[in-house]
Amino acid sequence: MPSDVALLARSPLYIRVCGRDYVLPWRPVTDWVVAVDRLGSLAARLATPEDRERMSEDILTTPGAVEQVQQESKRILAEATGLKWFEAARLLAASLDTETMGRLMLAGLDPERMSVGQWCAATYALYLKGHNQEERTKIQFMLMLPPAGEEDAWDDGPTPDDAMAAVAALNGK
Amino acid sequence: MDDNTATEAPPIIYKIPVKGTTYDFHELPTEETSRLVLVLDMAPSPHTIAKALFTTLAKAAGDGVWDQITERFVAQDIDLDDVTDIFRRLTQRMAKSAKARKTSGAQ
Repeated sequence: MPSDVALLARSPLYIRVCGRDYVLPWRPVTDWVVAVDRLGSLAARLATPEDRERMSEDILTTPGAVEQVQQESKRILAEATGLKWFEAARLLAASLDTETMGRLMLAGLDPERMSVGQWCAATYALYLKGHNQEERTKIQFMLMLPPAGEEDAWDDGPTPDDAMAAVAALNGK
Repeated sequence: MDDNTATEAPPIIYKIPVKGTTYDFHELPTEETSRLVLVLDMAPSPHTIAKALFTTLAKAAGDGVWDQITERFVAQDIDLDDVTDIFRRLTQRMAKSAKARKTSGAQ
């Protein structure tokens, strides 16, 4: 689950697109929700307006630029949350559910002041709240299940024993 | 594949209407389409959007078509929204055509 350092960080992020380095200033979680349905352009959209201009020109003339931005988008989402990118994207999407958002608001959270890492952690805590160990294991397993094409993410994820325990929990054993 | 029997499919022409006149466009390569979609999604300045649309769409325009569209743009007969609409319609038609090809290929 999220590393403490990533959750508290207010430092800028660094990306490299079309051979050029860019600094992305810290932004609140409201600027990260684009990751829910347009993850592929996240890194570019978090750039400053001046950098977006330069980046646009480079992207138009550089083969493979779209894949570069996609990869950098996933990388910074993981870096900013201390999670795998798909875990963070799932938590962000879950937080937009009306009831979940309502609970986060009632808890006094302000998305204009919170980092994406803190927001994901709060959503994660909300989903685990009140569940026993078996139910928590199920939720955690669903969260960390890699999407199609990302199966390699298992390699740096849970151990085989963790996975077996999660499968057993899913089967109600 | 047997090269002796392979035949090249004729290029697809997409007829796109732009404020009263219909123009011919060819298929845009997927890579260039994806790059332009990304740039438009990045919401850069109108100047950069115009430059991106014009440089990319010019490659898909039929003979003399882009000169006519540029002239109409300069004369303010059409605007950036109309040019954006050309790209939107072209990508929609390309997607529809690709889907049809995939369906017929699967049969």
